[in-house]
Amino acid sequence: VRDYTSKWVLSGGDPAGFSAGIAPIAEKHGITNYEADQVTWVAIGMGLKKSGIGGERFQQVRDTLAAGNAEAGKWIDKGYKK
Amino acid sequence: VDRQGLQEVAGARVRQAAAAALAALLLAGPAGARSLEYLYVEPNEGTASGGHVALRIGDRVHHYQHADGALRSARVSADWFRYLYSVLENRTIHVARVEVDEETWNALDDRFGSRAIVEQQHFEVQRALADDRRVLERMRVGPAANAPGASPRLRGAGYFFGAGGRRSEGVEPRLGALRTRVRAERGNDWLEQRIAALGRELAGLDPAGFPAPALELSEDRLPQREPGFSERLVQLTLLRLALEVIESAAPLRPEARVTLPDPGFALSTEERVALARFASRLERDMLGLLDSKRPDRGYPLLVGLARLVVVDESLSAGRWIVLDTFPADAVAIQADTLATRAEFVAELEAYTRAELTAERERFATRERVDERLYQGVEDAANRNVEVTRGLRRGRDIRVHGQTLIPHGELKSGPPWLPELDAARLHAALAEARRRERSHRAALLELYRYDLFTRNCVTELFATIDDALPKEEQADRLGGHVSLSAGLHFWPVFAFGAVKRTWRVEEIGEIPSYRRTRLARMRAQEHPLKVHLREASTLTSSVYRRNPKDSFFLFFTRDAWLLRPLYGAANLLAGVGQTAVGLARLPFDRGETLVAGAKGIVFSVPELAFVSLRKGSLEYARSSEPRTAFRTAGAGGR
Repeated sequence: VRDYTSKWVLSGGDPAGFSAGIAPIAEKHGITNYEADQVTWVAIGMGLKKSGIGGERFQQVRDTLAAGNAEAGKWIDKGYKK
Repeated sequence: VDRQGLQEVAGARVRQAAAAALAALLLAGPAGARSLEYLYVEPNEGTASGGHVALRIGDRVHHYQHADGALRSARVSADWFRYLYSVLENRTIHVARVEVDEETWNALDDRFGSRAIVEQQHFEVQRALADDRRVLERMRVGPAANAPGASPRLRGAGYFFGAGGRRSEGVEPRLGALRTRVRAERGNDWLEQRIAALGRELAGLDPAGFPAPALELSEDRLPQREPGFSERLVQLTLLRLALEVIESAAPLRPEARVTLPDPGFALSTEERVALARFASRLERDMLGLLDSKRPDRGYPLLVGLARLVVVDESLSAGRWIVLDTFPADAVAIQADTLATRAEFVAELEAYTRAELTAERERFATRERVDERLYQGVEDAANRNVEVTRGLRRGRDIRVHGQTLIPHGELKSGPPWLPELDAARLHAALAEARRRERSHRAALLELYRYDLFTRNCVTELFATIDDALPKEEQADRLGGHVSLSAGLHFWPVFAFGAVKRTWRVEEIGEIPSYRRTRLARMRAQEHPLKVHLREASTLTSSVYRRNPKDSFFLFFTRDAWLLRPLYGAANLLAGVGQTAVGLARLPFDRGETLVAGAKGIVFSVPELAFVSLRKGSLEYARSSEPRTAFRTAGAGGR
C-alpha cells in the first residue's frame, strides 16, 4: 500500500483510480473494507511521505483520500509522521 | 493430479513457516550490513531449459517470467521461491551474496517494487478492456441473466442471489434490524430512492462515454485507472444488489455458509465476547460504507452483510459458522489422488487444524477485533473444513494459494444491462475490440519477451541499471555487468559474469530436492546401493512419475561419465513411448505421445554430456529435508 500510494502520487495522483489500485492490495492482506482499516490508512500516510510531498500538496491529497473521514485523516497523519 | 493445485497447497503451507525461516537467515547475516543475493537456477526441461535468474532483496525475490508473449515481473517470498524451484522443480539454485550499503539496497528494492506495481496496473487495464468486450458480446447474444457463464465476476452477490439475480424467499432478522436502523437514520425511502437511482444509472450506461486508455505507456508511470464500462457496470450492479439485500433483508443462500461440525469448535467465552464486539463494529462499518465515496463499495458491503448474518448465527448456535470463501474456479485436488496420498492428506489436515486453532486464539485474545483478525479465522476454517469433509466423504478438496477473502460470485452475468439499440451496440463492440487490440500492442511494445534480447536476465540487469547509474555500480556493487559482452544474456553465463564482476562475498548453493535426499541416503547407506536404486525413475524412492515431465528412464544430472549412455537409454525409451503414444492417441488426447516426444528432445543433449532434465515433483512433504543455504566457499574476485 505504501509503495503503491507513493507511485500513485508521483504519477499524478488521479483520485478516480486510487481505489482500483489499493483495493486488490488490501484484499491480499485479508481486508475488503480498507476504509475501516487503520493499518491501511497508516500505510497510505507512509506512502505520501515516501512520495516526497509536503505542505499544501500533502494536505490536499490527504483530504481527498480521507474524503471527510476524520479518523482516516488522523491515521494518514500518523503514517506520514513515521 | 493437478500440479498447480498441489503447488498452491504447498504454497499455503510454507507461507507460515517463511517468516521464521527468513528471520533466521537474515539474523545469520553479518551485523550492520545488508546483503543481496543473485540467484541462478539450473535448467530443467521445457521452458526452463535455459535456466533462470532472480535477485533476492531482504525477504523478497524479484524475477521476470515469460507469459503470453510478455515479460512479467514477479515478487515472491524468498522461502516460496526456494520451495518452488529447488523442491518442486527439483533444480539447484546457485547463490552469489553481495554486501551493499543501505542506500543501494533501498534503491534496488524501490526500483524492482515500483516496476512491478506499474506493470501490474498496465495489465489490469488490459483485463478491464477484455471485460468491456466480453460484456458487449454478452449483450449482443441476449439477456445477460440467461447467458451462460459469469463474466465479469460479481463477487459477494452469490451469497444472497442465485442465477439471474433471484434471491431466496424469507427475511433475515439481522438484516431486518439493520434496515430498521437505516430507515430511522436516513428516512423511510432512502434505500428505495438509492436503488432506483442506481437502476437509472445502470440503464443509461453508455460505452461510448468511457474514454480509451492512453497508449503511451511508461514503466515509470501508473496508467489512469478510472473505471471503464464493464468495471462501472459491476460497481453499480453490486451496490444496487447490496442495497436490495438491506431493503429486503434477504436471507443468505444455504450454500453460502460453512459450519464447523467438530464439538471442539464450539465458541469459548472469550470468542463469544470477541464475536459480539466484532458484530457491533461490522454494523458500524457497513453504515459507514453506505456513506462512502468509494466507487467499488458494493463488494465490501455485500461481504459485510453476509458476515453480519453468519456472526449472528454463530453467536446463536454457540459454534463457528463462517462464509464459504472459496472462489468458484478454485483448484481442486481430485479425490482419487487423495486416496493415494494418505500421508500428505493427514499432514494437511493436521496443519489446517493447527492454523485454525492459532487464528481462533488470536481473534479471541486481541484487545481490538477487526476484519483482519476475523478473516484469519474465516480463512483457516474454510481450509480445515474443506480437508476434513473431503477426507470423510471421499470428495475433492478445493485449495487456494492466496489469502481467502470471501468470493461468493454470482453464478451468472450481470442481472441488468444498459439499454443500447443494435447499431450502438455494434459500434461499441467494434470500438471495444479495437481498444483491446491497440492496448495489447502497446503493452507488448513495453513488455515484449525475446529469447535473446529481452529475457529474465536482460530485464533483471536493466532494472538494476535503472536503479543505479552505471558509473556508480563499481562502488555500490563492485562493477557493472555488461550484457553486450559474450553470452551474458544466458543465465549460466550471466552468473559467471556476476561472480567475476560484483563484490561477491560468498558463493552458495541451494541443492535440489533430489540431491539433498540422495546426500542424506549416502550418509546412511552404501553409495553404490543408493546409486543403483536412485539412478532410474523406475526404482527411485525420491521421484514419483510426474505427468508434466517428459518420459525418461535415467537421471543424468549427477552421472557425468555415464551421461551419454543413460542419454541413449532415455532416447530409446522416448522413441518407444512415442510409438505407444501414437497407438493411444485416440484415448489419451495425445498425453503419452507428447511425453514421449519431449523425452526424445531432452535426451539428445545428454548424448553430448549436457543434462537439462531433472524430473520435477508434484508434492514434497514439509517434513522432508529442507534445502538449506550452505556456503561453498569464498568466491568473487
